[in-house]
Amino acid sequence: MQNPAAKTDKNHNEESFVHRVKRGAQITLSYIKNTPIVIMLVIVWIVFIFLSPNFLTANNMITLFVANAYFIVAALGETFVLISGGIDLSIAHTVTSSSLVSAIIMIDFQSAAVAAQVNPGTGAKISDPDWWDKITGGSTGVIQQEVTEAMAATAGETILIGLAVCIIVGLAFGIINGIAIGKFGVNPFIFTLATQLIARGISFVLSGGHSIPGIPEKLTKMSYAHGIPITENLIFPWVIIIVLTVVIIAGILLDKTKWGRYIKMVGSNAMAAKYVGINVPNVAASAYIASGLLAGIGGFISMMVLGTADVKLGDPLLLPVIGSIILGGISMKGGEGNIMNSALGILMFATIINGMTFLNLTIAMQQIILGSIFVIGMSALARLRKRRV
Amino acid sequence: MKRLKLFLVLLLSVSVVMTFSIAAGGKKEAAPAEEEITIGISTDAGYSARKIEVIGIYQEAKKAGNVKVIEQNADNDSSKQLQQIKALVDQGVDAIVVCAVDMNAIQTALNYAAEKGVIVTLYDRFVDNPNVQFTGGYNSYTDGVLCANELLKFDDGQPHVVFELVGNLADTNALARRDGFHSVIDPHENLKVVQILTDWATDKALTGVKNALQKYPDVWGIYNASSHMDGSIQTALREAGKLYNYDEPGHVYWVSLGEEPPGPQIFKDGYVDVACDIPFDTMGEQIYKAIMKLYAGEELVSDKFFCKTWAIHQDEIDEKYDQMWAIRFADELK
Repeated sequence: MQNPAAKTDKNHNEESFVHRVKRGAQITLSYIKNTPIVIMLVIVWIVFIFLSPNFLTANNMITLFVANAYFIVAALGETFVLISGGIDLSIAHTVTSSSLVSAIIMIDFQSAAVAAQVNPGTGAKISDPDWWDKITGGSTGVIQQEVTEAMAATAGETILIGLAVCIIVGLAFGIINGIAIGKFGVNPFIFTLATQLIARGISFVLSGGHSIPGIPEKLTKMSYAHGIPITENLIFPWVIIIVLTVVIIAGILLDKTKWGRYIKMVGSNAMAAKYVGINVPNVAASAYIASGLLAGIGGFISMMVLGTADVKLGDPLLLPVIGSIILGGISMKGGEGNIMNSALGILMFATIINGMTFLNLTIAMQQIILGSIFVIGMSALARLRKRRV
Repeated sequence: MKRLKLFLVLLLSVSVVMTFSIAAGGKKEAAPAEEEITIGISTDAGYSARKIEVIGIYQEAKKAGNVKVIEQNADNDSSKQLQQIKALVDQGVDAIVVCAVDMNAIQTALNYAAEKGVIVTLYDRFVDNPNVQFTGGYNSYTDGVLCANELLKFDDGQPHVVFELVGNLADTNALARRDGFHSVIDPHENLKVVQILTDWATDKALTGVKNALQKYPDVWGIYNASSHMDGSIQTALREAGKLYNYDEPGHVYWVSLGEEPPGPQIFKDGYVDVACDIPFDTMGEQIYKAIMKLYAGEELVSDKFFCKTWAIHQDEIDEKYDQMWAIRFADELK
C-alpha cells in the first residue's frame, strides 16, 4: 500500500513543477513584452533567413561575431556610462588610439627583439615594407629560418605587451573622463567630446594618417585560424570566446555586484543615492574608468580582427555603439537597462548590417531600413516607458 | 495589451513591406543561355567618382549579357567591408573588385576569397597581398607633381603665397597628392605654401580658405587636391572680393585636380586656370578586361593599371572640355 504522505509529496512536486514552468513562462512573456527588441530581433532574423540562404550558416554566424567583436566590447563600456546617467563620446576614438599606440609599441619591441637575435643594428621595423630584406640582409636559407623562429619566439611576449598598452591607454582616457566628470562635475557631453578630439588627434599624429601593419600573426590568427575546431574546415575562433567572456564578466559586474547596483542607483537618482550613503562622484567616475578599460580591450580586439591598427576605426563606430545599446533598452537618462538589453541591441544592429550585405541593397536603401528599424524600436520603447509612468 | 497588439501589427506590416521590397529589388533578370559570371564589387564610399570608376564594369557586363554585377558599399567602415567581401564570396561570385577602406584590414577577407577560388582584383588602393591578381589605381604622387608644375608655369619668381587644400590625412591618395606637390614646389623658396586641412569636406574647405584669406589676403595661387571642393574656394574668394576671371587683373592662379563636379563648371566659368582631369571611367573597363582574361585562364600582360591624368588649360576649353569625364558622364551623375 502506498504511503499517502508520499503521494501528497509527489502531487505537490508535480504541482510545483507545473507552477515553476508556468511562472517561468510568465516571466519570459513579461520580459518579451517589456523588451520590444526581442520581438524585433526574431522578426529580423526570420526575414533574413527567408531572404538569404547564406545568412544562417555557421560560417556567416562566425563572421558576424568576429567582425563585430570590438564593437560589442566598446558598446559594453558605453553601457556602464549610460546606465550611470552619463555619456562617453570618446569611446570610439579611445579604441582607435589604444590600438595605434599598442601597435607601435608592439612593432618596436618585436623589431628590436628579432634584430637582437638575428641581425643587430639594422634599425628596421617590421611595419617597413622592406623589413624582411633588411633583417635578412638579402640572405636566404638559415638566416630566414632564424628570423621566422625569432618572430615566433617573441610573439607571445609582444602580444602581452600590446594588451597591457591597450589597457593602459584606455584606462588613461577613462580616468581623465572619470575625474573631470565624476569628481569635478564637468558636463559629460562636452568633456568627452573634447577627449574624443584629443584621442583622434593623437591617432593621426602617431600614425601619420596610415593604418599600421605588422601586427604579430599569432594575434590576428585568433580571429580566423586559431580556436576550437567545429568541423574540418571551420573553427570557433578565440576572439569570440574572449568577447563572450567579457560580456559575461560585464553582466556579472553590472547585475550581480554592489558596484553595479550603485551605478544603476546613481543613474536613476543621484540625489537619492547620495542620501543613502553612496559616494556618487566615485561611482560616476568608476563608470567612465570601466568604459575606458573596455575601449582599450576593444582596441586590442580590433587588431585581432582587422590585422592592423586602423586609424579610421573611430568615426564609423561611435553612433552605432550608442544607438544600438539605446535600441536595446538602455535609457539615455540613466538607471535603466542591463547587459542583456545592451547585448540584444548590439546583436540587432550587427545582424541588420550583416544580413543586408547578402541582399545586395544600395547603401541608401540599407540606411533607410536601418533608420526605420531604429524609429520603430525607439517608438516602442518610448511608449513602453510612458505606460510604466 | 491593445497597444502591444497594435505595435506587433505595425511591426509585422513593416517587415512584410521590407521583405517584398527587398525581394523585388534583388529580383534576378532572365538567366542567359551562356554560363553566368558574377562580379562582386565592394567600394569604400559612394561619391560621384566612385560611381564612375566602376561604370565601365557595368557597361562591359551589359554588352556581354552573361555577366551579373553585385555592388556593395562599405560606408568607410573596414569591419563592414570585411563582412561584405565574405558575404560576396559566400554568395558565389566569380570575381571580386575591391576598393579598400583600409589596405591592411581586408587581408583576411582577400585570402578568404582566394581560398574559395575567387578572382581578386582591387582598385584605387594598392594592397600588398599575393592573392591580388590585378589592381587599377592612380599615381597620386605624379598627379601632385603635375599640378605643381602647372602652377609653376605662372610663377614670376616674386614672393607669393599659395593655398594648398589637403585631403583627409588617413587617405593615402591625399597624402601622395600632397607629397607630390611639395616635391616640386618646396625648392622654390619664393613660394610660401599655406596648408588648409579639409578632411575632403567642403564645409571645412570653405572655413579653411576663409580663415586663410584673412591672414593672407594677397594669396597668389591655389592648389586644390580635389575639385569637389572648388565650390568652397569660389565662395570664399567671392566673399573676400578676390574672385576674378583668369584674364582679369587680381586673378588668383588656381589649379584643381580630379574634376569632380562642380569643378568643370567653375573651370568653364573661367576661374580655374588648369583643370587636371582624372579619367575615372577607364578604371572599370580595364578591371573588367583583366577579370575576363583571368577567368579564361589567360595571363595578364601587367597586373597593374594606372589612370592617366591630363591637364586642360583655359585656351583649350572649346576643343577639350567635352572630353572631361564629368561632362561625358553628366547624365549618370544626375
